[in-house]
Amino acid sequence: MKKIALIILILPLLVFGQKPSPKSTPKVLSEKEQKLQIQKMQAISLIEKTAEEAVFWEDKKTAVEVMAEAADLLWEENQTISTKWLVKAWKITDEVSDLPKNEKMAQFFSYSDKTGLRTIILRVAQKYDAALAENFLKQLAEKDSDEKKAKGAFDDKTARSEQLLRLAQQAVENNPNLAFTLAERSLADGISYNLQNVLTDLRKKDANLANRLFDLALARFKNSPPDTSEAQILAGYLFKSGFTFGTNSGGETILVVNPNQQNLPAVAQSEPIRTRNFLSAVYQSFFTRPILPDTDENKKKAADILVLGNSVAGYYERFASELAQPTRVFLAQLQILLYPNRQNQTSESGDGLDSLPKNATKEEIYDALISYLEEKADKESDAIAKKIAYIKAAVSTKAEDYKRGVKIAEKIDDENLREDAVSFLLYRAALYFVQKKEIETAEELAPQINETLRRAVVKIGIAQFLLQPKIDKKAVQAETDFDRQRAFGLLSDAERDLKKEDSSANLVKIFFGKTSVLAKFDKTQALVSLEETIQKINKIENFNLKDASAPALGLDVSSASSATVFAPRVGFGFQDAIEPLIETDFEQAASIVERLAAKEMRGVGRIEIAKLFFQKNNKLLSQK
Amino acid sequence: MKLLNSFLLIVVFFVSSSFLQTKVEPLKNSPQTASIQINLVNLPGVDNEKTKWEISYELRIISQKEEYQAVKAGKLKQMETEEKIGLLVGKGSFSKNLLSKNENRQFKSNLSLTDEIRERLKNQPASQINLAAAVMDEKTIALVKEQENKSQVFLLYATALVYDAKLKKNIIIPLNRVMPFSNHPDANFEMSLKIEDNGTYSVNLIVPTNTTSGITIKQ
Repeated sequence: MKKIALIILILPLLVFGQKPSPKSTPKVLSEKEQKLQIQKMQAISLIEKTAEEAVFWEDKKTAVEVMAEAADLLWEENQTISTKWLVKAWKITDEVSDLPKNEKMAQFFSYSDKTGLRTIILRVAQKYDAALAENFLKQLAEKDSDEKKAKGAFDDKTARSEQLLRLAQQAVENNPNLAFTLAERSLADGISYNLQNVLTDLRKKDANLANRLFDLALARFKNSPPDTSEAQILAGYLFKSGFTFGTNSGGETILVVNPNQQNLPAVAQSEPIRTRNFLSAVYQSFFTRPILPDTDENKKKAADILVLGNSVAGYYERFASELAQPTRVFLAQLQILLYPNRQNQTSESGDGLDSLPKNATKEEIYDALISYLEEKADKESDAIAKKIAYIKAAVSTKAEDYKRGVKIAEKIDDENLREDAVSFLLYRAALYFVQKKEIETAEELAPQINETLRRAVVKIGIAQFLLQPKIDKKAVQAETDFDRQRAFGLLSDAERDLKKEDSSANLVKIFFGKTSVLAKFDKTQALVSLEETIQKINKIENFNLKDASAPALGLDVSSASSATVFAPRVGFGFQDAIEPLIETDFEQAASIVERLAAKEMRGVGRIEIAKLFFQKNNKLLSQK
Repeated sequence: MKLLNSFLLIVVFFVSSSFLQTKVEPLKNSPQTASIQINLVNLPGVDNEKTKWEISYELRIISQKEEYQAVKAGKLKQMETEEKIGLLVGKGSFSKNLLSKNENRQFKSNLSLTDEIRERLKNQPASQINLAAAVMDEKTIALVKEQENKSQVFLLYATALVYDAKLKKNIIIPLNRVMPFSNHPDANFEMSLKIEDNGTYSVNLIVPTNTTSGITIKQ
């Protein structure tokens, strides 16, 4: 009934909204095309309604995200209204916190929600209206003096350069020239950390552009007051892509790694002249001026120079050999001045591996490490430290070596902690075997997992595997049918278990995962499951519909444990659940999302549905 | 107005000169025992009989000078249990369930202080030098060094392990604290521990309000 009412409401829009075309004869639309046109109007209506409401939401962060996304989706449909949303969203960012998102990481980056939102808006503006993006950047330059008081070691120089480099990073893949121009403009504010990422990615697309950008950056470095952080950025690009060294406020060496840019060939090898120019500039700027670490400020400066020196010293011999000796002497003297007591220190790893022969195999090293951790736990006298030490040892075992892990965990003298640890080790092992396609072992382990949510994730993971199209085309239909039955059985089991559980973010994610797997073979059941999921969401205070990460089912007392789990390749997000339903059940899915109680969440849900609809029917938007 | 300023200066000088100090005066007396009290003031699963808590602790003592050295060496950064420093005052552990009963949510341990520790506490300076106002000459530096050697600092190495049956969560809470004796002249250390409905927690060390005040050195 709801579906019919919706169509009746939208039909007049469709009829009266179309401009008359005087000459061409009206094209007769097929039933399918008519349905798509109606759905298109509905999707547009969802976006417009949500963007207009978002202005009044209390959650400003979500409001800005939604408005920027709405503008991106409807720009070609209605440029005026999209510009209006984007300008409004830009204004609202002033009301969003600029405190670092992650306090623990603040010494590295003070990246805030405000920064992230500005990037989102600028990306959309840059895509459709460069003048509008320019206007936003101009406003940022004016605001710079008031913002970003406390900086992280790897923060970009200014809010403006940060945004320019983020835009450049986004443009590299499809428009290297634009990326170059944006990054070049960022140099007006100095050499920022993100320039290294842009340089590395730009080089992959166009080495000449990267060289030109590097030369400009080096010229900037030479003509500005010496700054070790700037030298570290260029050194990272030349010698070790993906790595940048720095120091924190206490003078300790800190390092940031970009995993996407690791293990690339060193640029220095193919650019010896540029490398020599760089090393000479560094020498002139830092290694010819004695510095006495007599005050805290000078100590920090000296520590910065020493860290930089130690990271580049090894390259002088090859690229600027006449400077190698004086650089070594300078750094040795600085080391003694800064750390007079570090001359005779010896190191001992303390991980029980010192007694191993040099040619020990990986297995021998693993075995020795686990034995060492277990013995250390055995010897611990503090009651709680002992329990934590056993957990550390058990979690350190390999996922497939779960029997050893369980044996260690069984020594924990605390029933709750022991059961939790054992359940985690079995869960981790089962997911490992799913990933390795050893389904029978995973199925054996699943019922042994005491904890409901973990057991449900394993069952959903197995069900998903069983429903994958068979690579072996000879697989008989009967076998496929049998696997479908097994999958359905596993999902029903999981559902029965989950019904007893209190609502939580993890439970919602698992429900989304279940819905997404169900949608592959039973859309009706998937819609029922989606509806149940919405009910679960309405029972919790907050849930991020855009969070597609796997549920966090690691050990409460070991934050590192989650990272050791092979998460199943089931999508656990809202999009994953909705996506298989969009083409067949768009109206029903949209109608279910309307039952989300929180207006912000409902808005995000509508935008996600509309976005998926247009992704599936991308040609529709260009048709007026 | 000038007259008023002169009057204020005279008053300030009079007040400051009443705190003139040429040597570090010791406290001369010390408590017989130290005590550790931890109160679990809130947890979601308090009424569930499976909810329980456990604490293990060590109380240690170091001089202020040793504290500075430890800070420099990074040993007090995280207060890792493997690198405990200082002289042991006492240690212990306990475990309690049935937390709906008030008495089971409180823990108190009295630790007798040895003669050696009591002697160190007796020599604790009765008041702290106000370095901001001091004139830094050799005499003052010697006084500051003496103060660093004689001032005592308690170190609490403790961990709480709470199982909340409502949250179905094991929660490890580090309770490590550096507590200058000057802030706790009775050597009583009281903490409150609160666990919220989402499993986050807060720990509050209660510092007595009548702690020793600073004094100004003037030549």
